[in-house]
Amino acid sequence: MAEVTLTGLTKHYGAARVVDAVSLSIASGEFITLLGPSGCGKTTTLRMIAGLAAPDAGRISLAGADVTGLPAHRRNIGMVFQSHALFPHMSVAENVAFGLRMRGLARGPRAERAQAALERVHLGAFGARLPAQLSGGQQQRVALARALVFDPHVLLLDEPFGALDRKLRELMQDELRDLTRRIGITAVFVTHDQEEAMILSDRVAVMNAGRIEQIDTPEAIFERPATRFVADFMGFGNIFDGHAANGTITAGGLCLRAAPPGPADGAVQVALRAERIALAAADTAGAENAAPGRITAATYHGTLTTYRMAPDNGGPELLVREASAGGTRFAPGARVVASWPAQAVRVLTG
Amino acid sequence: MRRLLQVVAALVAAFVLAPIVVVVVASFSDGAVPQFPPRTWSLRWYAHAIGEAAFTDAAWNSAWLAVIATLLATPLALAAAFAIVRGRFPGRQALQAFLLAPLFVPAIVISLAILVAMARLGVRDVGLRLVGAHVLVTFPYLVRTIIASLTRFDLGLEEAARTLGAHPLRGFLLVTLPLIRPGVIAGMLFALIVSFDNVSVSLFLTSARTNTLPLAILNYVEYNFDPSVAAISTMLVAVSLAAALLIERAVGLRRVVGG
Ligand SMILES: Nc1ncnc2c1ncn2[C@@H]1O[C@H](COP(=O)(O)OP(=O)(O)O)[C@@H](O)[C@H]1O
Ligand SMILES: [Mg+2]
Repeated sequence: MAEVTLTGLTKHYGAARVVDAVSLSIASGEFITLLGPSGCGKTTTLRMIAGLAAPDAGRISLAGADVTGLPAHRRNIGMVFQSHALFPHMSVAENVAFGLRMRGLARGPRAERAQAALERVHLGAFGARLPAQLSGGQQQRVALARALVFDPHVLLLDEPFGALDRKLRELMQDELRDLTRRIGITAVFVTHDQEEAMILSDRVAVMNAGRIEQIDTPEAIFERPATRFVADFMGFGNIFDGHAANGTITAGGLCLRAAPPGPADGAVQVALRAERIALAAADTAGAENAAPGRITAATYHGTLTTYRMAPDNGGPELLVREASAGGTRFAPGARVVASWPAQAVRVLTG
Repeated sequence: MRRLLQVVAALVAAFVLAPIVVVVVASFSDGAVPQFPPRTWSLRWYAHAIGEAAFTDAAWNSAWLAVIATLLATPLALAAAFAIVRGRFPGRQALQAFLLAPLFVPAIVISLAILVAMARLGVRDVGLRLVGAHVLVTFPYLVRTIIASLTRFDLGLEEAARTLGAHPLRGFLLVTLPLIRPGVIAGMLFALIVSFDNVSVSLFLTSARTNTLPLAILNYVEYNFDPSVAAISTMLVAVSLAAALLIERAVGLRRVVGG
């Protein structure tokens, strides 16, 4: 059953349509991520679900009940903010117990449940401290415990790990994924970091300018983007306008064969993931797609090395990313042959 | 350059503090007139001052007046500060300037305005006149400190309280109020001092029978020149200093006086 349903959700700030007819159905226990660049309307969407912002049009339902007009404090939603928003004048335990206190629970059971929630995020011994006496990661754990302690219908998280360093962020992502799966809560997570979205989510909704461009499993979004925007955001690196005829696509001097069924004849957009292109010094016989050319730039990133290659037949340059194996293999000016499987050629629809 | 600044600062402080030091020292004179430094030292003018009904009655009046005016002005100032900081209506800046105006308008103008207004409103009772006037005089100090604390307050905390199930009013009481409390308390202490010290407004509104302490002192020195006035003044300085220390403990004086 759908736990959260958004129907045609729309919000303006002034003349700007910040959220534009967003519709989304989230199953019970599902972990969904709204992924998109800064300013695309993720936070506003989340705030409307929480009841902190009122939509101009559209409906929100929670567990089958329409809550569009319900104030935030009656929605039974847990929310974790980027700035953690812990109450600085209350102890960690009081912070966590706050939601239970609002629900009229007596002091004794309140303290017990808050303690249990703190133990769930490995902070059982920290109840008496003030939030300011915790590290950034610990503060976000407390915020998580506080949002979960009253068994909300759904957990909302707005870039909760944005302020943490990379190592800690990865640890917190693992913990969050384990915790949400274990207790089976429905969650909506917001981030602009595609890797974070991949790691955490059952499904990812990619947002652009207030709209959902595509919603699918992380693998499908990453491997089979539907639109130019999604392909670009997923870091394909090569997106061309071309022309299809008899299953072959021409883009400038490049000739690309897609896996069957190929695109219908006419104008098409294609995306080719930079990691799927292989570079070789000599001709590679039997490749489904191959293009000779010259390296124009080589950049060493550490784990990866990227090359730009100008094909001999003219047309757009190719971006190639490969795992660094002992350093940079080709210098600018080097002659190479790029090749890629037909299966890596992704025909876009919009 | 730094040294020069320090020297200048020390000179300014000396210039400002010197008269107070003179008064405090002279208050311990034994003779019939204040001496600096006293030839013989004594506390007898303190005893005299405390025994003088004109002073003690006026001191009680001033104390009650300061407390009542502050308690009345505080909720008004809270409401006004909220409207200015949180409201979304045109003219908020203008309203703020208007509410803070008594800080900048010459005291004598305000006093005259209050006198005229009280007469027009038919407020004859001296106590009521004084309370009304002192609410007005203390109000801008409260508005200013409360605006400062509300502006610093993180709205996200109120939103967090709401998502946790707190009615907005309850969120205000449990989260907002405790966090802006130091600012409110500092404003109240300030208001107490401002009311207790006030001369100009009270001067227009008091009667022969109802007097405030600063006016009682003024009256007294018209006809007497003994050290009891210095003794009273020293006690006032001590009280003000205590209040300033309390403000410092609550929020830090700089926040209240500065920006
Ligand atoms: N309270 C507001 N008033 C005016 N504009 C806003 C407000 N909140 C957000 N916006 C604008 O709406 C757009 C979407 O914002 P937001 O939902 O925060 O994006 P995201 O979380 O995806 O970065 C942005 O252009 C932002 O400037
Ligand atoms: Mg955001």
